Amino acid sequence: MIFEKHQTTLAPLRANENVALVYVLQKLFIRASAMLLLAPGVGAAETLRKSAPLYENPFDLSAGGASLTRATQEGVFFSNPSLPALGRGVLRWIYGRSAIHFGADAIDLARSSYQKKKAGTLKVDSSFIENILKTPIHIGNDISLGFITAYGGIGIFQTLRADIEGRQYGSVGLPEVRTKAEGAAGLVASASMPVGDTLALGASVKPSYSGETFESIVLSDFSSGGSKQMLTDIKKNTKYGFGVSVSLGATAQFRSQSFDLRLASTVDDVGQTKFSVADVPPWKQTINVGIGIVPHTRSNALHCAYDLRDIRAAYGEHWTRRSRAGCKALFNSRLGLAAGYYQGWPSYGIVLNLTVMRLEAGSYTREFGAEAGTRGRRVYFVATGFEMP
Amino acid sequence: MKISKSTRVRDFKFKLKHFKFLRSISLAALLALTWPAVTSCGRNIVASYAPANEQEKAELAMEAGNFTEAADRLTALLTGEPDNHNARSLLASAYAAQAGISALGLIKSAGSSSSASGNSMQRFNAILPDATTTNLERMSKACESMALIPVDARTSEIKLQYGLFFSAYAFLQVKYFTTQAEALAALSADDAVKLIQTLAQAAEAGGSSPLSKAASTFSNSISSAPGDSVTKVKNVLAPPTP
Repeated sequence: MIFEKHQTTLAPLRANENVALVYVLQKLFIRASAMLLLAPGVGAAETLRKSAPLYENPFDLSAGGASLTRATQEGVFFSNPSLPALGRGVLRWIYGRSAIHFGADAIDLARSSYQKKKAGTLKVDSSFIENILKTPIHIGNDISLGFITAYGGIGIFQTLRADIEGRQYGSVGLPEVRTKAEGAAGLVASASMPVGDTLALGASVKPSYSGETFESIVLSDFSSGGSKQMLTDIKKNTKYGFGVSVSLGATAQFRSQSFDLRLASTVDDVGQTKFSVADVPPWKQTINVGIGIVPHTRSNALHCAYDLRDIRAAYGEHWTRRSRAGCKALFNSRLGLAAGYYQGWPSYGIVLNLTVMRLEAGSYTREFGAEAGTRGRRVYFVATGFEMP
Repeated sequence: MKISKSTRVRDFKFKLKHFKFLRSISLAALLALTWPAVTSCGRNIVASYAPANEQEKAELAMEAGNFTEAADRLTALLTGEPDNHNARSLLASAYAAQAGISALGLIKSAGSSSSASGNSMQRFNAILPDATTTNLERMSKACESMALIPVDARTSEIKLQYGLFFSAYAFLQVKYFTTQAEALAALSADDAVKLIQTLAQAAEAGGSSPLSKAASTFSNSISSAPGDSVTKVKNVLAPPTP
């Protein structure tokens, strides 16, 4: 019978191929993360980072990422190097921090998989694969260590964000898995100085290995035994390089007994940040502006700010993707609460300062779509570290 | 220096006024940030100001199962961008999805059916949706949309989808004729030619998909059968009993 012949060919995604797919997804995620951690790289026609700072402090992210006029600890290196010059005393912080970020959807997937495994009903079948296609996975981490004084500081940092996102209907209608990862590790040093009573200037230098990978894999590649090919493609498309990013910052502060107004502007990647590898696209120079108001008492402060990044739209992003807004309420330098809008998505967080130890937790949303508000993925973070004095 | 009482009162009034001003500003800032949070229920508050990306909105509509909306968006997009081949391929997906066919669904069903018991005809019937005239029309539109993409503009992904949809359309026609005896009995030359052409296009697309390979084998079987188009199709679909 003619149909018998067909039957023999109709087996595109058998059980062993399902296992292969899951194995490949795991390998892919581990490989992407490892490659970026060990040898962070840069790739694709245009950098994934675009107008965002190279590194963002988690608590600042939970305040909508509006950190030009006030940043938390190591955040000043990356958001506005002139900020340490504003304030009293010389030593600002000796700090260390480690943070992990994880996607909300991935938590649900892990929880349901764990429950099924416990009940003995977990099967690596096509429905499992379909779940992965529908559930974006996000992980990230930040590590930083250093000290900051009123005149500048020095530190080390490492940051990584990695995502796997499946789409049942990809860009041409076929199921596809997109992997996206970006990371950086390096040194940072800054100098800052007050100019008169109202102005502060600063500069920072960040020699770092930075990198990213972006790969779309059509599901058919799995059934045609392209697992190894896929990993090879990811490796090939993960480009990395060494570059030295320079930032300049200026902040004007108008103070009164209980109210401050801050205006800030920074230039990131001054004159472009070029990399040691020729085919790695440079980071374009961006100019950022921010405004912040700070009603305060002696020991409590509320800082509300709005930042517009990349005002000349060097990366061609719409202003909605370049906007950051939020408030941080700080009570007796012990407790901090934050809320804001990161690219229009709500974010919130809390920080507890227990003398030396510091605990932070919060949530924000990462945009995966081309425009703000299209594909928001909620991300949670927890961070711990120390702070002196 | 001693400060007069009137100066102290004036200072106090100034501070009070200043305090009220600050309090108003702070409240306004807090309200500005918290009010949208309360009313937006976790949604993006600037999304309405962002430029519309119709293709992405169509993809989202597809993922949400709103295939008609996706097709409408893509049709409108293609009016202004007729050379947007990805959008055209996605439009074909939207039509196919309306007929109950998706690339992922084909892969999944084919995989599970291959290990199931039963004869080959049953397996084909399980893979494809009901062979109604509406579904056949939708698949016809899906294939028309794929065929509008110039050959030299077809990427490997588009070629794969082309092969899948033409194969699915061909086998849906087969299902129609094999499940409705009267339809097969009344098979017209036009219908027979259409089936042969669809199979030929599916076979022409090549590709590694098992469905495409099956279409290729089936196409060869019909081609090698004796007689005119109608006879060839009838002989393969319902071989005369000896």
